[in-house]
Amino acid sequence: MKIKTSIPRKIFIVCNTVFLLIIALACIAPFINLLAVSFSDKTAVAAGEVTFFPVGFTTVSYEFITNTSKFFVSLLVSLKRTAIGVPVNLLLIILTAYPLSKSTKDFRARSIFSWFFVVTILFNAGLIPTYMVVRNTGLIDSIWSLVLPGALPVFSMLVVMNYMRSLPKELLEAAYIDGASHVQTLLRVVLPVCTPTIATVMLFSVVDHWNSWFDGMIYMNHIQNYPLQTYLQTVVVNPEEFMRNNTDLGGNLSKYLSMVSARTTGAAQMFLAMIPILIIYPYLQKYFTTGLVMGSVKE
Amino acid sequence: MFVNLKRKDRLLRDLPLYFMLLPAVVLVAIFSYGSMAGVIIAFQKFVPAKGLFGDQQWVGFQNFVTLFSVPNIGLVIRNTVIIALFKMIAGVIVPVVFALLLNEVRSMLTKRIFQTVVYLPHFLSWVILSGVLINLLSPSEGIVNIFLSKLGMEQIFFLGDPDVFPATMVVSDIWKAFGFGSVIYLAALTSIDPSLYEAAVIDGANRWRQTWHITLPGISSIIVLMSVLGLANILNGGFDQIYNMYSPVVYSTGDILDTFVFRLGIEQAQYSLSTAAGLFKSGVSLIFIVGSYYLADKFTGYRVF
Amino acid sequence: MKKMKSRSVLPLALVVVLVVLCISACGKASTESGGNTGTSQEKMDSVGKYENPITMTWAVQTAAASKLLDNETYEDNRWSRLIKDKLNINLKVAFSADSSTDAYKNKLNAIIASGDLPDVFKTQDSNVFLQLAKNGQLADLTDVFEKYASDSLKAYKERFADSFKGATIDGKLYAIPRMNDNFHEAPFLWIREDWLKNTNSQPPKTIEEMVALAEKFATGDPDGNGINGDTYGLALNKDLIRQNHGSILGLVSAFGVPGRDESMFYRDENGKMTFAWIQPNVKEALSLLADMYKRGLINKEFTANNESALIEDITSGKIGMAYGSNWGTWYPYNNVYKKDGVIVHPYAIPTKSGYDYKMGIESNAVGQMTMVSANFKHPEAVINMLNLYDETVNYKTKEDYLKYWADEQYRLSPIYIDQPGEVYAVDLLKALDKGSSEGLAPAAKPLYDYIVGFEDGSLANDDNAFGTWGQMSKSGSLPIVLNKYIPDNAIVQSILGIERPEVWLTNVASLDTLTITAFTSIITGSKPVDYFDTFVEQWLKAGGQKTLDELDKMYPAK
Repeated sequence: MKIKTSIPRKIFIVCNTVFLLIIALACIAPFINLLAVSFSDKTAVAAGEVTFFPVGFTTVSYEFITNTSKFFVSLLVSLKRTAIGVPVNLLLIILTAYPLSKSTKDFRARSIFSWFFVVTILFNAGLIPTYMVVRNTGLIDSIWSLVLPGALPVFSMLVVMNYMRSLPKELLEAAYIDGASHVQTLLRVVLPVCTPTIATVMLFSVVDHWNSWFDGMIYMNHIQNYPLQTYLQTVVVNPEEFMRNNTDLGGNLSKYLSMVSARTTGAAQMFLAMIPILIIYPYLQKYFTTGLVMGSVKE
Repeated sequence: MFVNLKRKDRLLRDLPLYFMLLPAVVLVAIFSYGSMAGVIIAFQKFVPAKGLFGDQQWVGFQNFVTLFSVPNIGLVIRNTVIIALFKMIAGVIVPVVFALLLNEVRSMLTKRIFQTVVYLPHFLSWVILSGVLINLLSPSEGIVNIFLSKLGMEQIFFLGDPDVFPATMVVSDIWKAFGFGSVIYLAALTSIDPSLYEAAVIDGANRWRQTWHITLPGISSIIVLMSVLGLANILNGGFDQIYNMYSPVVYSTGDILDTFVFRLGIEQAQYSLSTAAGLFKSGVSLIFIVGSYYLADKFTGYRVF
Repeated sequence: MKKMKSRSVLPLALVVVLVVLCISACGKASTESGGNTGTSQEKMDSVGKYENPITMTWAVQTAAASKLLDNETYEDNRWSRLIKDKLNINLKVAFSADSSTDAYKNKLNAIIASGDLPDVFKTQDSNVFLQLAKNGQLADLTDVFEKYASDSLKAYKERFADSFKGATIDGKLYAIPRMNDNFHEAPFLWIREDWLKNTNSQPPKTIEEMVALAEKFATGDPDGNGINGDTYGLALNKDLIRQNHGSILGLVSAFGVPGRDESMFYRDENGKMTFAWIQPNVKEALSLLADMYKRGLINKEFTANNESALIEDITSGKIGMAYGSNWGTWYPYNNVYKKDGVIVHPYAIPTKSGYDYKMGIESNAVGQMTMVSANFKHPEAVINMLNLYDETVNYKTKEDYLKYWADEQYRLSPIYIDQPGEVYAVDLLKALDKGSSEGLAPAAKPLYDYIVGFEDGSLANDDNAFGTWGQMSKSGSLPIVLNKYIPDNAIVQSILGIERPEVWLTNVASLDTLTITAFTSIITGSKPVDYFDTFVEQWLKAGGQKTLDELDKMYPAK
């Protein structure tokens, strides 16, 4: 479909691009600042000289962290958590969204099940009761305590369910007439056209698992089982302690301490922690765009 | 099309659907509903040493009475609602507008770059962002105020002036969340049938009309869903954000229910009071969600869930 | 209608069944818990070594103990090996959590509620301790202490009788308390020595001189970088009334107010129960601060700065003067010393003529408690362990001391003699006068070496030496308390012990908020000074008056 570009349209496009550009700059500035701080000399950072470019460029903060075993131990826990948690989330989202995407006419219990799930968004029982349930299921100190309690992200499920509901009725009817069962319909007809929305909720899931820290703190008995964000939280809250107690460096500790500060190492750790998300994100984004083609369900 | 089935047949036909729901129902029943039984401590004088189902003293609604007899509680609730309401409204409008504007960008590459960039703040926690913002917004050294003073404007105490603080919270929250929030709308936009636009172009509709009559209706269901779900946050001012940026000087406009309850609880592990506050929040959210659900059903005939 | 009912039955029934199942599982599991193996009849030798090994679980507070050296772990380290070797006890970590954040507190409360208490654990929260003791969940240590404690331990109990009294409820000893004597909590004014010199000033003796010095610091060029006015006069942080650097405690003290966080209750000269922050003289102090703020002598952004933000400014050399506690040379001024080689000195607080200065300290009865679960079959093992600790750290070689105590390694022992070195300040000063550490308590000897080592330069770059020197040498902070504050009768101890009125527990957070908000508004000028009277009224109405009445009954006048 080709459209002739009119003059007002051109003006709009230019304004739009400039506007988006300003917004994009506002969003990225703090990150550039973070990155610059992580590569800067500590005195320059303390004096507030660092804005968007490193001052006194050095990679010593990164050396300091990558010599810390705790960082990598908890990185591993986080990777494991994400690798288990995201597939579990997706499986349950799909299994739940499909039945609930049926109309009330076709699946009479859908309304009550929907409310059954939605209510859980609203009621949070608080620390102690939640802890008791996880303890009684015997999951304390296991990676599953970080996966199973939130196995069904209700919000994501609703998003997928809504997407499934908006699929053309003819598609499902055709499958039904062909004699396909529910499972066959889900696998062969519905899922293939749901890629964009599943990519979206998968990203939500990844980010969620990657960024959660409170559950790790409560359900894990030993700090060597902390996921990365839980560990980072202790570092960010108490940077001075972290600095002084980084005994993995042995005799080099005092040498490093003269070169790095809590802020530079904090920035470096934040940045390292973001890398997995930055890697996975463009990959998933590809699916948003291919969704453009798949969104039209013409055979 | 399936209407004329008998009850037994229907059950048989629906059976696979029940099986699909089973794992999620079991897990949610255990982890969410199981722990919900714990809200009983809102009606007790809960002493952890006696155990969750131990011999706790029942006090009825005493905890709620205590909560609402605290001086300034009205102010705290007002602050919460104001901040949450603005966040909710802007939290729907800004991502939708952004998604629409971005959708107008033709170049795939440009689009991708914009997207990647605006999603970034979402990935940083408030612990980090607050540190960055406190530096940026500092009255004497912050870039923003230096810029303002170059324009000949007065300094603004973004975090230290009670009149400005709530606005700072709303804007910085939107700044963090709008990009990632637009992901859903962009995904929804991709599902609109292109043939609709082709037909509209043939009918001579311009871009505005296309947006108004095709794009917006095409994503309206997701907008309604997000708005209704957003109402659950009517008493959520955003604990992580405010806790990391507020100070006593802005308590009058910036202290929200969660920060207040946190300070209430932290001193002496007052789990009963904070559970009571949580229950109050949940109750109010439930009323709002049910209300909007039925309004949506009544006026548009659309069941959100 | 009938149809509608029937179709909702199936899922609803499912849900009900599951919830019931789950709840009954919860109930069952909690009654089953608490099964501990081992019998109390295990044999042991005279120093407490068991014939057959026993197991003890304990809770590790990590922030403080996160210094693991030589690739040790919380499970396997110098203390766990020593304890296994000498007492035949296998230590097991029940859980580890950061005690400098809320992590430890949250985890402990969850564990307490679920009934899975570790055998040995600690808390700072007097209410948690009180509840556990009253609910019979703690082992009564009275008899085992009498029977197994060494003479050295018993001497501690005499010397720190107040602390042990705090750990005793209804006549029974339920914990080994932190052994403390809180005189050292009094505030000081800390000033950079180079700034004093650059501005040709003397340490201020009066409030007026302090304000004048703040003006020099704020408007002049005390750091000598050629720029006037890029430094602060008097530094504050947003928490104002907490005991940390940048508080107003030292300043209100000059006006006769023994201010100290939210818990400073005491009987005034007429024997009437009262609270520090509602004293009329607070108004004078606030009025002075408001004036200083208006004149730009106080860092404008203090309302947004917590202590750690302030410390960044201290380290980067923007701050030259702040009220603070005795440990300044340990932290944060050790950073200044390391970076610029500059010493920040503590001085007695400047006074105000016409007022008797007063300073508030915590009750000695309050502090960290090390407790033993009632389910643990070997409470005597805890006392034996404490004996072992005392002997190893305090009566053995210097190598042992360095191995088992220094670098916070002592925290790897489930129980330790928990006491600040400050309690030995008097003895140390005497020893320094004598020039010999002979006769000092064993725990104080290393401190003597640190001070001497710092002064003769052999330990000039040692953090421990600088810290100790700034506290307990003759030019340190504590001699000021001993030689001036105490003789001047300025120290007022809070009456609030382990037992606290219910009304205070529920309202303390909002009372605290009320106080800080009111004070901040007055200092920044957003409320007039007379707003203080409204604050006092509000404070009394919001539970303050009831608290005072309850305290009057709870802690009757002697």
